[in-house]
Amino acid sequence: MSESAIDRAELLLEAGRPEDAECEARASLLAQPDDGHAHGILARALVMQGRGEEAVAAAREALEHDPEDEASLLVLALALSLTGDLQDAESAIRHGIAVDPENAALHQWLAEILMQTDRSAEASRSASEARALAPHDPDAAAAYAHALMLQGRTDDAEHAAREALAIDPENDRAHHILGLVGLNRGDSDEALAGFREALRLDPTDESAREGLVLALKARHPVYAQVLRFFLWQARLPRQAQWALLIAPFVIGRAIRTVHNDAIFFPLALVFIGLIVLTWAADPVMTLALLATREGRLVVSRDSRVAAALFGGFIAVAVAAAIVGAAYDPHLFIVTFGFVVFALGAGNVDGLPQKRRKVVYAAAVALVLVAVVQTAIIVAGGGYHAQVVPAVVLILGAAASLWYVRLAS
Amino acid sequence: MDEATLATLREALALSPDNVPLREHLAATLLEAGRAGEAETEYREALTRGAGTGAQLGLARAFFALGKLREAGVLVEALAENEPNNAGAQLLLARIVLNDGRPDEARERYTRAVQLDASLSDPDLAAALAAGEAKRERVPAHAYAGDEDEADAVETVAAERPRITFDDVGGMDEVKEEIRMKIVHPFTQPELFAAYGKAPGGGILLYGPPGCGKTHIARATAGEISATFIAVGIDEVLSMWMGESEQQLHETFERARRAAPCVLFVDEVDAIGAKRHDVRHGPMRQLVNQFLVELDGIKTANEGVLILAATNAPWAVDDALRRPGRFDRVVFIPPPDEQARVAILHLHLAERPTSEIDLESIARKTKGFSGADLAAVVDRAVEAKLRDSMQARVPLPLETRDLEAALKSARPTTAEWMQTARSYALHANEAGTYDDVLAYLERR
Repeated sequence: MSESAIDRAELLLEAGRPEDAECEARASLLAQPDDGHAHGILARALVMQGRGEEAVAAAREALEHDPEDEASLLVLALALSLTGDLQDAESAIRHGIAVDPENAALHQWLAEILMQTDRSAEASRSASEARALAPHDPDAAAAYAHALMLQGRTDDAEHAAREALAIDPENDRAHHILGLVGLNRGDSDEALAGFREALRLDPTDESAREGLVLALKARHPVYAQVLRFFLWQARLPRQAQWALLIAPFVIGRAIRTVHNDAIFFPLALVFIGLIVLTWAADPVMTLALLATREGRLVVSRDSRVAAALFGGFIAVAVAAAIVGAAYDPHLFIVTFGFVVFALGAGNVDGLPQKRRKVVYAAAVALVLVAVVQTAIIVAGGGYHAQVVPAVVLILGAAASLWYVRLAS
Repeated sequence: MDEATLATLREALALSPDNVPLREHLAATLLEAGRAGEAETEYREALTRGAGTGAQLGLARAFFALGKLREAGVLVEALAENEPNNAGAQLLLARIVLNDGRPDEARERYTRAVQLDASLSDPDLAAALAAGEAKRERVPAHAYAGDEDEADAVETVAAERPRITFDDVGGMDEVKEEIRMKIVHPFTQPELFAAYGKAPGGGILLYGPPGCGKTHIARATAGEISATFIAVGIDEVLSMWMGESEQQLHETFERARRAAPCVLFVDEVDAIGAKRHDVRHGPMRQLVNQFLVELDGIKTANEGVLILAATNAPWAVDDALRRPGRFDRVVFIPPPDEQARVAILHLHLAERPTSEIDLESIARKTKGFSGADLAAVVDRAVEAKLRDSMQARVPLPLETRDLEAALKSARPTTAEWMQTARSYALHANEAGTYDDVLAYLERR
């Protein structure tokens, strides 16, 4: 690649114009197809455009000309990350570190990959290395803070984030970490300040927006405690999370086997209350947020849909309870089924897009079953006529709840 | 060259695909026959099979013929660097740089090419170089006051006197009114503005989704006040004067000052005036600093120079650019409104066979479409109609339903931009920069 073309392409990358840089690099490669540096620049331009597969090919081409070039190894790792191949990305980065152990950028990107693969302890070691090698780099400090946060080391994470901000007060990631620190401590003011600043600096940061929504909800002390529980639970190993889910049933069973109902029933009530609270907290708080201007602006469309489903089913359940109390207690079955379903539907925004459709379909089906059930009750149908739709209603609602829990 | 010869060459190549000289011969023949696209394919193939500099030059020529000037330039520049005595490369480079508006360099290259190989002499090119003509339409030198050197300097700039005015810009009444107050009236009624201590000048930053007419309205602004219009973008600054970007930016401003009254339009200003916080590279930072110096007119007053800038990413523009005296007015150019969409559709359908088309109805159905989106809809409808016409063997006129059919597979490309802008408007709306975006979103 001619020197002027190299400069031009690099300046264009710096100017945030990867498409133009790609064009320069490709044209130059036509003249000199064996220029490894040009392939490297092309790979960078493609990474910046999010074109992972092509970037991988260009980076590999660059490495064919210089297999030990750490810049090309780094860009290969970034390209592989884009394609989701984190294992090969990690190998490329480790190769780069073997070539140049004092390259802070390589250590930092290794930390990023390790964080993506849930290896936060290793990630914090790599980020710490990057921090030591580049003590004036705010991004390295912020990455270290992030890794510490994922380990649950809140105080250390805060310290590292503040160090990043001392170097660059406009480091959005460091502000984001301070928001997470606030959430973990149940300090909604600190969380709000952190996420608001992170969003001011990068308004396209979706996770900061979600953090802001959580921080707004966490202004309510009960929700703050529910959230702390979830955040604590999320940091547990997978097996421990399953154990936590199953433990109440095992304990309940154990208590029942000794026939101690005086203990079992109050405990069961408390447990069910807590379950309902954890399920209902999110959609209830979303509905509350939607009553405020800021809430309406920051709550995502998906969360609105979930909250609307929750609100709609609860409203019908309450109506059925009132009518049932006044006219026919058989309608309580609709109340019960809709409440159970609402708890799941209210959290449907935590599901991948495709799986939500199952819940939406279940919502339509349950409404139809409830209409049939109500018609049978109004028509004076007997026990045998009511039992099938009632069972379908209850089992369908319970199945939906479990589906949401397991698919989240 | 007739088809039979080409077919024979292709047949021979099919039998020995690795015959590089034969492939180059085919490519050259195609290029000579004006089939540059096919020539490009063959030259590329030849290069992948190990062809030498002859194929590189041929490919560059094919690019040039196809109007891919950047690709042609990069390719032939590298060739000329490696082989300074390659006469063909020097000649092609002369054509490219002339097209770029650098007649001096073009003259130099052409002279060298002819010195190396007298048979390359091209009377047309020589005449163009002698007259100092560039291919782009330029303002005649006599339009400027000053000495000949100045006129010559202006000659190298892509300057023009636009004939369009605000009457040619459909809709966008608020935007036009804002620009009138800031730029047009201070020029047409200087006494009134002087009485209030307002001198003409200053800058306006136009921002909005791509393809919505920012450049068009900037050009119309120049036409409105009969001013010269000079457009500059990062490509010109970086590509044409590599290593001297700041100097070149300065010279562009100087030319605008000499050509006053002049509208200097800085396209994609987020590249030249990127946030210095995000720019770590020395040269880019220097370029931003130079831009600030020029806007302030520290060394030479910018009197009579109206600076309009456009960007799709106002959030990437350095905050310092928005300080008073620089781009102190920020104007949102939204996707065209209904009236503007009617005008755009009318423009694109002009000179095409049409029957009674209900433009208002199509405009109502294309909310959020950019000008470029509307052009694509018309294109798609025309393609479908062409197919029908070929089957029917008679030219059929475009009808409303053709456009409606084309609309079925069309989506406004402004949606993604609007989503990003919404995020900035919600979370980073210091000093109300994005109030117009919020107002637009609320109106939708």
